[in-house]
Amino acid sequence: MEISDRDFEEKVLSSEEPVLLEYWASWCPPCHTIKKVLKKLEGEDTGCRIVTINADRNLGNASKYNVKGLPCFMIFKRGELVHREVGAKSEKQILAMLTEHV
Amino acid sequence: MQHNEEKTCWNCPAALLKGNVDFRACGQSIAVIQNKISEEGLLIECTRRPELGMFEPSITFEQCPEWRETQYGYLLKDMRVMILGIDGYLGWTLALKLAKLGCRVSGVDNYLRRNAVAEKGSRSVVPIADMETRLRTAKEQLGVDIDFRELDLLDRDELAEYLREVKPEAVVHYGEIPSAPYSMVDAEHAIRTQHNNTLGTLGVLFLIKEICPEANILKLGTMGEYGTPLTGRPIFEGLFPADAVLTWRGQEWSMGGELTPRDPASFYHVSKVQDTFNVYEACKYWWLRSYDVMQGVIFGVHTEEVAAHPDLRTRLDVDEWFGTVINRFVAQAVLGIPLTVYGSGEQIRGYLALEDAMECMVRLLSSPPEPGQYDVVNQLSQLYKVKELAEIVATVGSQRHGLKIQIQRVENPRVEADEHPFLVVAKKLRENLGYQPRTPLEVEIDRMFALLLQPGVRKRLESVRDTVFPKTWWSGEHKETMTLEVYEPGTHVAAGYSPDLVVSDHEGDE
Repeated sequence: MEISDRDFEEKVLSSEEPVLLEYWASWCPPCHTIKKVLKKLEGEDTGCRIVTINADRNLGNASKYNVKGLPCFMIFKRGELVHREVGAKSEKQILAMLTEHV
Repeated sequence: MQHNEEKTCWNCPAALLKGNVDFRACGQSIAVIQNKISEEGLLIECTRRPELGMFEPSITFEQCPEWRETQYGYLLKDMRVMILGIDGYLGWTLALKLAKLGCRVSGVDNYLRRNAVAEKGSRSVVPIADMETRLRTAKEQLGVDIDFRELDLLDRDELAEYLREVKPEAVVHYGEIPSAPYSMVDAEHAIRTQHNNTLGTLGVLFLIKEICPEANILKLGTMGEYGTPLTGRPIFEGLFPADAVLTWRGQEWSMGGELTPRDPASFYHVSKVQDTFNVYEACKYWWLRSYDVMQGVIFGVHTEEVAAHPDLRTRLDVDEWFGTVINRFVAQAVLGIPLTVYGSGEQIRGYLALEDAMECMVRLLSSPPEPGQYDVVNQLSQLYKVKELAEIVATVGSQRHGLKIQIQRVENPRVEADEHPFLVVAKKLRENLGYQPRTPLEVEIDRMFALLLQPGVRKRLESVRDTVFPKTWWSGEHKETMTLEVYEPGTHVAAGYSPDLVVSDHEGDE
């Protein structure tokens, strides 16, 4: 699910279930390759909500969370940032990250 | 459902990004933009619908009246497309097709191709008209206006002036020297190729950035950039998928989105690899948008538009420098020269018919990447072994045209693997852009025979007979190429590796 700064509060910070958030940008080729993986995982039982947000188009939170490299993965639990990782990930690596931090 | 109906203003070259945007949202410059952040988010203005004022870019192609439905998906109405190298084999053919589809086509050329073929002592075996006649005939026969400017891409001032005049919404870059053997003749030819291609493209990128940064850039690359890795690893579409993982010392890293290795096969191919990096960087630095089109070997003579009148025909070269393999085989068959297979003939390459290539280009124009997005497609319809192609040409020529055709294996003047595995991924055009190959190889070969056997064309073909046999050695040696063996079609079975083309993620479709 693609979100924006407008629904960041609702979809990320107020979420009951844990959230895997990915910051991306159009000029970032690794971000494009990961889209497909995230879309697949969205349909699976990962125990968390998966959302994506474009960094350039939503500078408010990108700035707040000091996003300095893409793709940037963040895991939120009850509105709190508990983990972040930067760089391309395979499906297996994303699942491993979720197992460890969710 | 059209493949591009859900694309939005983000993909539209008519959308101008206004304010509240900084491409450097990430990285060292984050501090610089802190004070630019606004609650309004990112807004655009539409160059085609100024009455909308500033708005959030969310209108889909399906909803927007500026995009109209065609058989290739939604297409921007009267799209201004500039073709660099409009006089060439592909440039002219695409110009007619796009003009017929309602695009406002402009183009530039310095007739480099005509002159380089003449330097070889050859010419297009299909007679082609001069540009003035071409443009007039296009108007008379197809009712289309194409604008042309004779200029060299290396002349940036002149090109800048023309770009400012046209303000293209898409730029198709065919304006390069497209020959591997030409680049391997000697230092002069290698330098000319790399200078023209690499510096020409770099200059074009700077001008697009300055004058029309929203334009969709279709940059022609070639499957030859990848080479033929002997490990048999997959040839992805330019960039690694996320699940391609590098394993080293027990650790794993995703290679997702990184450029895949290139292993160019000549100094010409090196120039194309350099282009790839330049385009890739330009997209990143300046938010340009581009498809890098890794094209297979094109063959054939037919599209509806070029076949509409003799003065609309596109060129067909069969000399060793500019002729491509299937075109050359058909020419050799008509001339009675045994078809020249290099080395073992087990080389596997990707191919597509002229007509199919043009369709792919239209589809790419219909679905521009987002600003800043560099994307790569492998544009081919099928993989064949060279030896296999010789057999198919021989079968069509003998069965349908009564020709007696032999095949000869000659020394391979190139430095390349004669036998190699080849696992190629070509999914994006099919899965994302709705392309399905529609011109069977045999049908196009048959059309080529019919055209080359016309008395006038055959006479021209006879006149360039001496330019057909390969003489350019990658080693730089000036020596005759020896024939190793002459054989009858059907007597040599293909051996070794099998071509492996992946066109879908879905099991059973591959």
